[in-house]
Amino acid sequence: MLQVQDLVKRFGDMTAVDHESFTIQPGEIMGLIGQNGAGKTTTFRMILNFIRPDAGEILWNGHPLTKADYNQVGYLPEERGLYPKMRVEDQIVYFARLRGMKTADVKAQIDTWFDRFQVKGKRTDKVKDLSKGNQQKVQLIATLIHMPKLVILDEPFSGLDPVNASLLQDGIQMLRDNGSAIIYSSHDMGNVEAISDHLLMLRAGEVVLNGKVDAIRESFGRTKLFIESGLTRAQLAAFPGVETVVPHGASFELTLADEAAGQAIFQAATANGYIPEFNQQPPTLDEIFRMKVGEQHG
Amino acid sequence: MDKFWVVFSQVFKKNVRSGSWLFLVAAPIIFALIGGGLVFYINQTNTEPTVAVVSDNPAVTPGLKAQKTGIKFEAKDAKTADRQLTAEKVDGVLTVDKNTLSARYTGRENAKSVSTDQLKQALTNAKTQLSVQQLKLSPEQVSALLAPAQLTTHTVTIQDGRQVAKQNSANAVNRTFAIVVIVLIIMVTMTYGSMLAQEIATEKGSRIMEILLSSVGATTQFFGKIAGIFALLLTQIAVYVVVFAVAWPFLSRWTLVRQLTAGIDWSFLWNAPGLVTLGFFVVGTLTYAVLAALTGSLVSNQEQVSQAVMPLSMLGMLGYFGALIAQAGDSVIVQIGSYIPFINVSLMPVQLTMGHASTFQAVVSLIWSTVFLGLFTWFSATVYKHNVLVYSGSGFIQSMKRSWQIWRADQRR
Repeated sequence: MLQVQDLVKRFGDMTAVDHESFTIQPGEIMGLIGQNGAGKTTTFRMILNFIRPDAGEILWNGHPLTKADYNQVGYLPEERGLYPKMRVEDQIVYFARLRGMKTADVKAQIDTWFDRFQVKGKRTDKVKDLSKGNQQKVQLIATLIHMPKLVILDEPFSGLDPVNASLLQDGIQMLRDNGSAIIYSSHDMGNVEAISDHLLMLRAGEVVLNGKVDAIRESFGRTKLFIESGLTRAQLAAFPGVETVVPHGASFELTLADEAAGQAIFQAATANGYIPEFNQQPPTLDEIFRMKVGEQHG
Repeated sequence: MDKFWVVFSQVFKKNVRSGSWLFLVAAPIIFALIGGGLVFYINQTNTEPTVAVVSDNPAVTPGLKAQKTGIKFEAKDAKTADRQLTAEKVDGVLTVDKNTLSARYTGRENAKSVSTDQLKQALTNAKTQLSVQQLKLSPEQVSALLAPAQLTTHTVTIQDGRQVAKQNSANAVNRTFAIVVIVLIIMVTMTYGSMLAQEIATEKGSRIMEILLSSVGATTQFFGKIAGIFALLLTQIAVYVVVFAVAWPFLSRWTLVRQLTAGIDWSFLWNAPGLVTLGFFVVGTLTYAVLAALTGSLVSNQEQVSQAVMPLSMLGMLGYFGALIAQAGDSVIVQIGSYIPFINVSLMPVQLTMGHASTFQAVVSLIWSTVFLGLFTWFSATVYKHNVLVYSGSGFIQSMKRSWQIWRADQRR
């Protein structure tokens, strides 16, 4: 279990992380979101012991992370780095040996991981001869092959096409099922929503959202309504509590001031019986993100 | 400790298989083979010059022939000799007076070169032998006559109004040895320093460094890399030792090699100055390697890699020019420089070889260099872990300042 308690980090006059606290249980995935410069990478660097916090505490299974715990960590930095002239196999073996694995064990597992991430290339190929996508997969394999108990992924989805992003999701979920505590940052709210159990949003170093993804969304109320019925745009806009009406083909997307406003619309829309769509939802993470960022700028 | 060996073997294996290192090792061997081959070819195709000897004294030609001069002497009468010279059958004619053995040499232009020094020496020897025979001297008398006078030299320097003994002044072999040593030290420190700086700079520039730091401590990594690079150097030296050991039985049969090596007093390899120089070689290489690791860790991107090597090159050049000045003569600047880390690595061995510094002074400088190496390594290892995470777009100096600030901030905590 990773516990981050009241963490503070300042660089000169700038506070990069301001009283940040969260906990990740084994078998839990935490998505860390925030704009550039919100303090995500600084948080990772403090967890990894690269930089010392000015205040607060980071505990791994109840004690500060020590050198002995390094072997349980898998870290993927935001900017990927591999030795271009090294063979893929040597590259993976080197990183895995630094995590305490035996060369023979690594070599025995490489093929399984190649299949898992569908790497196009041979173990003997030089890294520079692989496509960018395959290089990223090799990097991921090097990060995860020792089955780390604490996985830290800084923007793991950036630069991946949808197919590879889906493979990565599968990989992350496999580690979660294996009992790893996973924390990753992303700008893609779709991915965060799809695989995170827990969400933490940072804004200028401060935690502005922290909790289960569904609970966070529900806390904003079911203020999004997707409806396809006999009602016209003007009729929908006339209902009390409707803030915006945006047409999407035959249906409309409504933003409500209060989720209770949906009841009157439902009754009016279904007065004549069947309608193809009535879907009242909390705002998406993307919308919540924009809302939170907007608060700061507003 | 396990991870130290992982880093060590990675640095070693990666470089030992690299084309650039193999070339570095092979280049001197290839050049030596090409050079040796050329000399061998020239020697093979160069037949010895023929000189006609004209003399009324029949003992002269056998006397000249008896000596190994590399010149073929043939007794001829004056007319035949003249005719053969015109016909280009002989390269020169040596006319020798019957009694005084004073001679005149007529050499043909475009002929094979005949060293007049060798002719003079051969004539002198022949004359001595003839005189010995004429005077009927005993072997003891001959050796007493031929034994050269002994001259030993002592050099003193005047310090505080007193004479202080110094090593004997440099001879040609010492000078050559000094040049070889400084060129070797500078070449090795530059090459391996650049290799290490580039290794670290590339890892940092490509962000591999962050992955490494999340699995192995900065200090372990730092020492693992330096040890790996040092092992490469030792491997290179070992390769040369093996190649030399294998080649020497063949080389030593070669007259040219025997002549070249005859003048070298090999005792310098195991006497005190030799060992001190070896000490400078080891300490110097390590000091430069630590500096290389330090500057390499300050780089922010791949484009700045050349900047990381620059301080090494500048110090190397400074040491080289200092060594050239030291060769020209003793001076206060050189004396001071002989105690300044980085440049003393090349200055002190020269001073020592040239007899400008005593072994004691060299040992003091070496001990100081070793202490400095310890302090410098501690400092570099400490700032290394901060350096490798500092990325400054504005360059090298800014990175250094920023890293220094982080280090101080950490110290205060």
